[in-house]
Parts: sequence; C-alpha cells; structure tokens
Amino acid sequence: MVKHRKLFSVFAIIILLTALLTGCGDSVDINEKLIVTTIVFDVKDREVWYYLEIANIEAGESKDVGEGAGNKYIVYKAHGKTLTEARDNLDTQLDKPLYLSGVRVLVFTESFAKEYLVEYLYRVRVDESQRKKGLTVITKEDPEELYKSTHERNISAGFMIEGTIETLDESGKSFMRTTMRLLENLSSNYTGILIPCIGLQDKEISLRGYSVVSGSTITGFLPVEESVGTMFFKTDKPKFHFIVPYNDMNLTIEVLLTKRKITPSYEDGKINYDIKMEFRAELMYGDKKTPYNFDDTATREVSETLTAMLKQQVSDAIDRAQKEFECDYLQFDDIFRIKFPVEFQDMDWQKEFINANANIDVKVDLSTKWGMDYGANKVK
Amino acid sequence: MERFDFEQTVAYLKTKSLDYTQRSIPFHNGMLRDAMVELFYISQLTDRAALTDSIVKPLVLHCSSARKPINARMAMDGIIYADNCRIESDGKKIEELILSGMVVILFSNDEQYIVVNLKKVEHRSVPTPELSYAVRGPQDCFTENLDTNLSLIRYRIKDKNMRIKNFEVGRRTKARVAVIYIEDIANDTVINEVQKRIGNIDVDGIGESGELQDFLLNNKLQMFPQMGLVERSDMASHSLLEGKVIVLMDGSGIALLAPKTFSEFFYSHDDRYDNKFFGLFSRLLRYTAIIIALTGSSLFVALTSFHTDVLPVKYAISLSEMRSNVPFTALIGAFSLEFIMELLREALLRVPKQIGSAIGIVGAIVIGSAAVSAGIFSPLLLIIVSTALLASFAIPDYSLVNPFRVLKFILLLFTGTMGFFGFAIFLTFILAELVSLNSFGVPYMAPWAPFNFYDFIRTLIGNSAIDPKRPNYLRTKDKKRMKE
Repeated sequence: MVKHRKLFSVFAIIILLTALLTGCGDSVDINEKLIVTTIVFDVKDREVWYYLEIANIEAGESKDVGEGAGNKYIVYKAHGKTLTEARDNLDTQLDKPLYLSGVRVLVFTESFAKEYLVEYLYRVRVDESQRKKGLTVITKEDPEELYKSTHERNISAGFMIEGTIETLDESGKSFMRTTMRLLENLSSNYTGILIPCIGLQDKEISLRGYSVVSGSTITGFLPVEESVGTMFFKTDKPKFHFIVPYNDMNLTIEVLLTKRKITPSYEDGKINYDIKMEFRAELMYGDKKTPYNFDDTATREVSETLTAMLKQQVSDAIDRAQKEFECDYLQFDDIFRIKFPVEFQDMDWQKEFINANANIDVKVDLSTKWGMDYGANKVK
Repeated sequence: MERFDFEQTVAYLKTKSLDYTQRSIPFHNGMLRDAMVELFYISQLTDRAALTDSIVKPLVLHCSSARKPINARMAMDGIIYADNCRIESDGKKIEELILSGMVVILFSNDEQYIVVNLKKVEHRSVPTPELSYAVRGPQDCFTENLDTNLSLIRYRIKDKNMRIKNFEVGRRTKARVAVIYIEDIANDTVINEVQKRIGNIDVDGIGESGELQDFLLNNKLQMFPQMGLVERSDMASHSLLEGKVIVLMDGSGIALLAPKTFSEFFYSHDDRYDNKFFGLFSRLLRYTAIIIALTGSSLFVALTSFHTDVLPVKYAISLSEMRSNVPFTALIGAFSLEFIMELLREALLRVPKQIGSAIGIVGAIVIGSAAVSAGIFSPLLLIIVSTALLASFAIPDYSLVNPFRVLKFILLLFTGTMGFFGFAIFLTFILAELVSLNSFGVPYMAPWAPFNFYDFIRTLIGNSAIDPKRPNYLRTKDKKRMKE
C-alpha cells in the first residue's frame, strides 16, 4: 500500500509539473506584443493593401528629434494580390506577435469594400484574437492621408475615428456600426447595411455620410446632410436642430425623438408599416426679435409646420431606401421577421421591401420655455 | 503527603545552590537551644519591605523575648501580619513553593509550616496597545502580569457568573494560565475543550501565549490562526460577553481568544465605537484589502503575461510603455519586488524604531525611484506591490495576514506559470482549506459557510444597539444580549 502511495505521489508530481511547465510557454508579456489600434484596407492597382497602425511603446522614452522620431503611433503596411497574400507579406515584417484585442476601428476604403468586404468579414469571424466590438467604417480617402492627418499631431487615427463616431452617437446625430453587428447581418438571408463613411474635412477626420451595403457590395452613398430622416430610424435617441419659418422669422428648434413604434402588417400579400413617432421639441431662438409670449395659436402653427417637416424627413428617408438605393438598410426586415417569421422565410425581401407601404404618424410636443412671458403673472 | 523534618529540610535547602534566601530567627536570643524559626524565599520574587514589616519584624520581636518556642499555628494567628498566608504540612511541596515565589516559614518544633504570599514581580505599568491600536476607545492593554490583566477584566465585567479557572503549565516553568469565561453565556463544549487541551499539555516549559496557542490548535501544522489575539482589555471583555473564552498567561501581554472565525479577524473594536455604517464601510474595506494583499501582484502577472486581451487598449498601451524598458518578465519582476518588500517589512520589525524610519527611507529611495529609473521594475508593478503591502496592514489582527504573506508567493508562482487557470486552482485550494477548518468546533468560515443569513448581516453591521442576539454560530447558552 505504501509503495503504491509513493508511486501515486510521484505520478501526481510529474503531472503537476508537466502542467506547470507547459503553461510557461503560453505567457507573452504585453510589451512583447505589437498593439494594433487601427486596421485599414485598400485596393490599389488591383492589389490589396494592408495598413496597421501600431502603438509605438518606446516613443515615450525616445529622446530623438526630427521627422518620425518619437511618434506614438507607427504604420506597418504590406500588399499582395489577395487578402491572404497581403497579410502573409505583412507577417514577414513583424518582429513581435500582433495584439489585435485593442483594434478600435476597422477602416475599409470604398474600393476594398466593393470587392473584399464579405471575404474579410469571414476572415475576422474565424480570428478569435481580433476584437469584434471595434467599429467598422468606410472611407473614400487615401489611407496614407488619413494616417498623416492624425499622426502629425501624435494622435491615433483609430482613437480619433472612434471618438468622432462615438460622440455623434451619444449626441443622437449618428450611430455606431460594430464588426460584430456586421457579422450578424452577414449571417442572415438578407443583407442591407448602412456603414458610416469617414473622410477628411480641412485635414480633420469627420463623418461624411453612410455607405449603403446591399448583399455583399457597396451600392450607394448617403451624404450626412441628407441623412436626418434616416437617423430617426437608425439612432437610439436622435436629436437634431430644425429651422422652422414662422411669419417673417426663422425659429431654431431642437427636436428629440422620444418614441418610435413600427408595426408591420401583412394582408393579401401586401406589406404595410404603421410608423408612429413622437418628438419633444424645444424652441431655442429666432433669427430676429422673438416675441416673449408665444400664445397657443403661435405654438400650434409652429408645431404644425415642424410636424410637416419631420413627416417629410421620415417619408423621404423611406422613399430613398426603397426607390433610390433599393436596399432595406432601415432594418425593416428585422421587425417584419419577428412578427411574421414563417412568411418571411419564403420572401425575396429586397423586392418585398421596395413595394412595402408606410403610414407615417408624427406627433410633436413643442415647448417654448425659452421665450419669456412677462405678462403671464402680474408683479405685485 | 510527606511530613517534613525540620533539620533535614533546612540542611537540604542550604546545601542546594538555588539562590534561596534564608533568614534564621532564634528564640530568646539563642538561649533556647535548637529552637529556631527559618524563613526561606527568593529575594527577587519577594516584596522585601512587606516581608520585613509583616513577618520578620514581628517574629524577631516576639522570638527575642519568648520563653518557649512557638508553632506555625500560633505564629499565623498572633504574630505575622500577612493577609495571604496558610499552613501546610507536606514536606515535598516546600521547594516548589519557594520556587513559585512564596515565603516559607519553618518552625523547629512543628511539623507544619507557614506559606506566605508576598510575591512581587517587576512588571510594566499598564501600557497602550501596539497590536490593536484604536482611534477611539480605551487605551489600556494587558501586561505580562497575570494579576494585573485579571484586574483589568474584573474592572470591566462585574458579573458573578464570570469564571476564572487557573492552570499551571510546563513541568519546569510552571506558568500560571487563567481560562476566563462567563458561565451562563459561553458554550460548554468550547470551555471544556479549552480546559482539556490546556490540561493535556505536558511539556517542560512554555514562556508566552504564542507557544501556548500552538498546543491548543486542532491541527498543529495549520497555517491559518484558529485563535484570536487580544491585547486590549475592552476587547477581551466584549469577547467574553459574546460567549467566548479568554486564555491569559502569566508572562504574556497577549491573551488568546477561542473560538475565532475568519470573518471575525476583520472586526476591529473601533467599529463598535463608531457609526455602524462607517463600521460596515471599514469592514468592506478590510475584506477588499485582504484580497488585494493576496492577489494584487498575481493579477498583474496574469493580465500582463497571459490574458492581455481583457485589457482596455489605452491601458494596454500605457502598461506596455511602462514595461518597455524592463528586462525581466512580469513574473520575475513581481516575485523580486514582493520579496524585497517582505525583506523591508521584516527588517523594519526587527530593528529599533529610530533606525526603522531610516530603513523606510532607504527602501523608498532604492525601490521607489532608483529601481524604477534604472528600469528594473515597472512603475505600475511598484504601485501594485506597494498597495498590496499597504492593504496587508489594514487587517486588525496581524496573525491572519501572516499566512497570506506566504500564500501570495505560491499564488504568484501558480499564476506565473498557468495564468488565470493557476490563479483559480490555487485560490480553490485556499478556499477548500478555509472551509474545512474549525475553531474549537465552530466552522471557521461561519457565517458564510455554512451560510446563515442573520449572522451574515450581523458580521456586516455588527452593532449591539440594533442587534439583540449573539451570533448563532457560537451556540451560546444565552442567545440574547438585549432583553426585549
């Protein structure tokens, strides 16, 4: 018995030591990795270009001066005839393993997205090390210019783009599209997606509009200035400013969507959507001397004008999706599928969406609290 | 019992080089031949002024003019003035009594002798606490003198049900040990167990309560403390009222407390005196502190070397920048820095206070600035290890921190070789060990395991003004501290 116990102990120690020593190989200190913050893909001269923005961890210690010295971010680039070849070429330049869990933004140029968007998304799906919650944006700019505009100021392009989109999302003016959401879209039968498109405005990174992705390619572009109505469908709490003409004045009104209800119905092979939107609006100021006392009539008249404007925006947004782009990037398919899952299975949604009817009901609750009414209460 | 023979006994005591002091008092200026009174005592243990005033002086005065010898009974009844005295007749006990600090008075014409307690041991006056420092609350704490310590407890608890049972421990040292409890509160099993274990001690000598504690533990190889340390008399009194047993030992300024559960080690008596919500906050802070003290550097290693993917990228970049010039791996760095910190702590404990501050400065300069500027350690690691060290000082009872000081190194090795997997494995070992322990029959992890909701809330709030009951896990006889 004692002999067996000894044998068992030795065996246990060997197993434990093996486990311990095997584990030693798994560790790589964080400073022994290249921390990637942005990945940009481009297609030039029929070749795929791969750009990695990497945090230069030794920049803080560098005492060098001159161009390129002490930059906090550096760019690795490689190209190849295919996506795989470009990546393999990039790997030959790397002196340390990549740390892809910190990728803030995945940027596709329009030319790349047209050809390789789906392939790349499938590649990301199998790469467990890559962060899926990073943003995905499209650009019409040259990647080199994008990097240049931020690296001149020692700022990461990835952080800059992420910050811009996040700020717009939080203020209700745009929305974020994560890689994970794109992968979800890709896995469904129908794919209609709107991806934020960034560009340079006076050398500053800014949101320029939205690329319409239908199926597996880019089919259109929605400029940011024409996207207000669309944002009422895409953003959680959209908030915009409208200039409403009243008498000889232009009133600036802040409008916040408080309730959005889209109810699909399906009768006699016809899809219909009842869209109800409720807005809270606040009169901020006018471009001329504004009356202190906004009486009920004035409030009602301004409300009616604003309601008509909002209804028009919503209607235009649907029309544009149905007629101009012929793509359901408003994600009406999700709403319909939840209510009519069986019917949806056999549908060619692209065709059905184009012919769907929408009844729009808009309500506005206008507040004129910024106008002051001295006559409301007599001062005693 | 053996009756003593005067001449033989005196001759025996004189011949042994035992540092006894002898004082002979003849009768009638020596005219009564062979009639003598002999006093034996150890001068270092005796109050010599009291001896002179209450024994020697009256005996000399009486004997010088006495016409016939007196016996022990007559002397005790009519001559000596000592309050604590008795008559003995067992000859074998004489030497033992002298060694224990008694004055033994032998009479040449009597087979009985007098034992007088004039013991006086040099001791400190009641000091201020050093282990259990309190911002608020009484500052008196136990000394090395058992009688003083008992007086401090008696002063606080005037209950007729408080029991003090005396034991003598050590064949050679014969140290006095007192077991104190309140009879109608404390659990009999605990009382009996403590007394049984003290009674079973058979060793030549025990000098301090720390040594005594080793003999009282369930498992003598156990790392975690199963008895509490009590330095302040108010803590001892409160513990007695909770239904616990206090063990005091002559020669030790620290009392032992049984039973003591893991959660009670996080309890400071300041919590009782301050606002209950602040007490709760402090206790939560201490729970966090022990977790930081144990896991701080291990988590750093796990996150830096194995599971870097969970780090937010800005933090990953910052961490990477900090470590860019460090030549060691995170494991070696953390292990070395923890070792140096422990070295500093040990050095500070062993040197005089005046030099201690100098060591602190050297440590701060050498590690804080030189090591970081030289790129030996990353600043973040230094922050984490220092915070862990600081956190370890936040636990009121230092005896709980000591096992964690050792365990953190083992945890560091497990984490450094297997990442979070190793971290989880070793923490599971520790937890398994903790839940399997008991302190004198009380589950060590009570009230968390086995879980008791009311006790759990009590350990969090711990305020006697709003809580009428004593903890259930102590299984006290009197369950309520407050009459409804």
